[in-house]
Amino acid sequence: MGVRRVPWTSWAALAAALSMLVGWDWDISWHRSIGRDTAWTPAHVAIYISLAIAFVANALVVLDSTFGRNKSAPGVKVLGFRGPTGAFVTLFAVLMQFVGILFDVWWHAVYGVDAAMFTTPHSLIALGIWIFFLGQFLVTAREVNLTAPENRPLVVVAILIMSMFIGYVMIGNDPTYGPLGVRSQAFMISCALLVPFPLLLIQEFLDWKWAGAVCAALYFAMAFVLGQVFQLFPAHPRFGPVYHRINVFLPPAFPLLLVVPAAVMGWIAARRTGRLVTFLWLGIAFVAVFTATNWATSAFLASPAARNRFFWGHLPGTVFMEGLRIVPPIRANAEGALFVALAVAIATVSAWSGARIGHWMRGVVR
Amino acid sequence: MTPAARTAAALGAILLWRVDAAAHVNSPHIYLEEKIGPYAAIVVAHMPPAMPGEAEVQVRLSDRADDDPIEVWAREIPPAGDATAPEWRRMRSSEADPSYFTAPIPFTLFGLWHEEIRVKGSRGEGVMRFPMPARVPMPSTMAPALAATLTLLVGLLYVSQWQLLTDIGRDATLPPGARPSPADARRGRTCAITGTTLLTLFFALTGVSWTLYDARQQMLGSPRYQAELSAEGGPVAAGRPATLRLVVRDRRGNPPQGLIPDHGKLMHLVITKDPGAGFFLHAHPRLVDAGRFELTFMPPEAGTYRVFGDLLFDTGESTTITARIDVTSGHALNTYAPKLDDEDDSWARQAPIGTVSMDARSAEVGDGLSMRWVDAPSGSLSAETFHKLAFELVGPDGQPVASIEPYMGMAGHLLIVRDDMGVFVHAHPTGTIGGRMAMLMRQESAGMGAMHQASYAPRVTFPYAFPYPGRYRMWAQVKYAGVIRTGVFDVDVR
Repeated sequence: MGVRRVPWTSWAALAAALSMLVGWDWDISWHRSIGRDTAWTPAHVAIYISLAIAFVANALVVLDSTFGRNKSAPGVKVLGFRGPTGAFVTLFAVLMQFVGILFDVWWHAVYGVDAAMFTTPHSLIALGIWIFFLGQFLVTAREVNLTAPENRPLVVVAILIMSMFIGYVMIGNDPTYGPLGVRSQAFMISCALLVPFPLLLIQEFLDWKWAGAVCAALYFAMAFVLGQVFQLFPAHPRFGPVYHRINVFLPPAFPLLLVVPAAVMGWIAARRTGRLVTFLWLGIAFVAVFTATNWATSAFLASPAARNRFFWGHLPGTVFMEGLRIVPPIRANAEGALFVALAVAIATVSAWSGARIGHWMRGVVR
Repeated sequence: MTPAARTAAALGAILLWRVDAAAHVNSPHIYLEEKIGPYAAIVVAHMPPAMPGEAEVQVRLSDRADDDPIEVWAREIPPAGDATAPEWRRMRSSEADPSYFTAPIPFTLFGLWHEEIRVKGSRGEGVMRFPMPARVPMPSTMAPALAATLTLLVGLLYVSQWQLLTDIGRDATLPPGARPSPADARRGRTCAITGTTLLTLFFALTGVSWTLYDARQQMLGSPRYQAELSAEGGPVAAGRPATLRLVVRDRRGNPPQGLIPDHGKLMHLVITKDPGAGFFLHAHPRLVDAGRFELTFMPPEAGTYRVFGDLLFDTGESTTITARIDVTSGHALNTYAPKLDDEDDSWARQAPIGTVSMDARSAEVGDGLSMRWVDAPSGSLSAETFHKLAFELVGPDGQPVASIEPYMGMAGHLLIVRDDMGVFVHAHPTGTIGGRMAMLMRQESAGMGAMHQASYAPRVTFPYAFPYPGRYRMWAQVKYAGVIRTGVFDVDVR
């Protein structure tokens, strides 16, 4: 069989996904370490490069499939154009981010420079990026489906893109809440929505029970390396109030041990495939294992043992805030129980839709 | 109308929705003329159009020798104090003018900031510090072109996601050459309906969060203090003295804390006729109780009057409260000779703006004296351009008088309103920062004692730039032979 070729569109998708992830981690770190930015900070440039790669590559593919040599290649027809499904999804995501950025420019003129992370235009951009990662994965997923027997390098590219997708989703782990922020109800709910989806998607797509765990492990490795690299570069706050005199880029939050819930979910999903009740078990397993793992790891990360360069527990969430944002942990009362039940319901739907879309992607040949 | 088009229209309506910004009458920028160490400097701080945002500080050293290698540094002190200030940053000097320096100053939160400027040259070095309250008006309208573009783009998002999900839901898994069955078409439609629903839900949620965010920003950006004005014994009538009561309260209904006198008075109040600013009263109401002021006011004629009151706090922050008085017709007056409460109160009457020449550059101020606007332009002035507005008191012989007396601790006061009452400024020879504050600032900066002088040269200058275009009226006030002399000048600003 030998090593098979990875098509250039998949390389482009991998490059765009990587540039997008690093760009956003870098940009958020910039806001926490330096504060002031312009449209042309290196972090922003990384994001623009990602958008440019994705736009040019996928627009070329669509133009080629509509008007060029590849007219007879299988594809879907959208608004009069023909092309691969992933290309259209990616282009749609670029359009959405463009609308978000335009809106964001106005937002800053009215409400000032970034004061809040979850503003209306930022939400639009965040959704655009989420669809963007899905589109980049789809570009590669179609190639995987079209090249039988299995094209190993291509599968590796697909796994890498999915682990970057998980890395992007984990940007929501805001270090300004500190290590113990992962114990909050809000964090549990948002992760229940966002995390089971990619884990089940990749598992169902590759029909391999450890696929989610492998992606989670790769996410951990990438985030850890980024965390070490960020600390190598100097960064000086450019406005006040400055509460912490730290003169290096503050890395993102220390990565979560997602590999544990991912492995448990993979094991459950493989044993009880297809039935709806499986997803309820997956939802329960996710909330239980994810919460337990976070509880244990956050206790360590908040302890003196983590106050070193390796675990970066000595670094503040941001130099511009005196303390951490305070958020209460999941409570052991009726309200807490309600939130846990809600999280289970959301995780169930998230796992189900991830598996559903992963299963559908297995059949995408256009 | 398809569901997609309907939602796009609804979102368009959200995009166009906005509220009026709360009233701010002060001009937002700061102008100062001060010594920094041994160097004379003019300092201008252009406040950002939105908060958080970036101000620009400009420093011009007016007496720097050409061969003096000067370095100018700046840093902002956040409301939390000196310990949280960022490091000093070197100000950029202009290539065209090596005595002119600029630096961007970012404001990250509302509150009272201070700016520090450090100058170091061959003649020595010094530091100056001045308050910069970060509470500025927020523009709250979206340009129609941008609103239309965004609405169109959101419409495009809806249409394209509908089309995309219909097509890929139906066709993506079909083998090459296969034609979609009715079941495939149904699947496509289901995908599109799901996508549209989720996108609409997303927009609805973000729309709610936008509304909440906007309300919070409006609250933070709005004036901290409001004034309620009432008159003892019913409506105020022309020609009859009335006791006005001004109750100042913060947003929670509490009286202001930490009020301090600014050049000897707790409140500097201006009452002017609207429209036209034909009448002007500069008064200093008595404090009768926490946050309650009183003054006697005899309106010369019926109509609407606008009230602007400046307050200074021990933090260095100042604020302008506004109110309005509706005056009914009462006595017809042959001569207007009101009894004033305070020896430093003064008034002036002049034909309304627009009914007299905008080009008059000399004004009669009584006893054969006149006030001249020196170096005044013959036509209009430019908005946002720095001017040194200079006024000189001239005797009956046409020559400047020998000297003038201090008026509330300084050489003169300049009060400015725009004809629509949208701008009100009380400026001093040191700049737009209150007199007491300017004095404290100078003591801190230069280690000098109290700055009271017995007399001043007859020419008084006020560093200022008109913030916006419009027709402005200026009342320049100095004291001579024990009488407050008010010169009235109009200027067109473009």
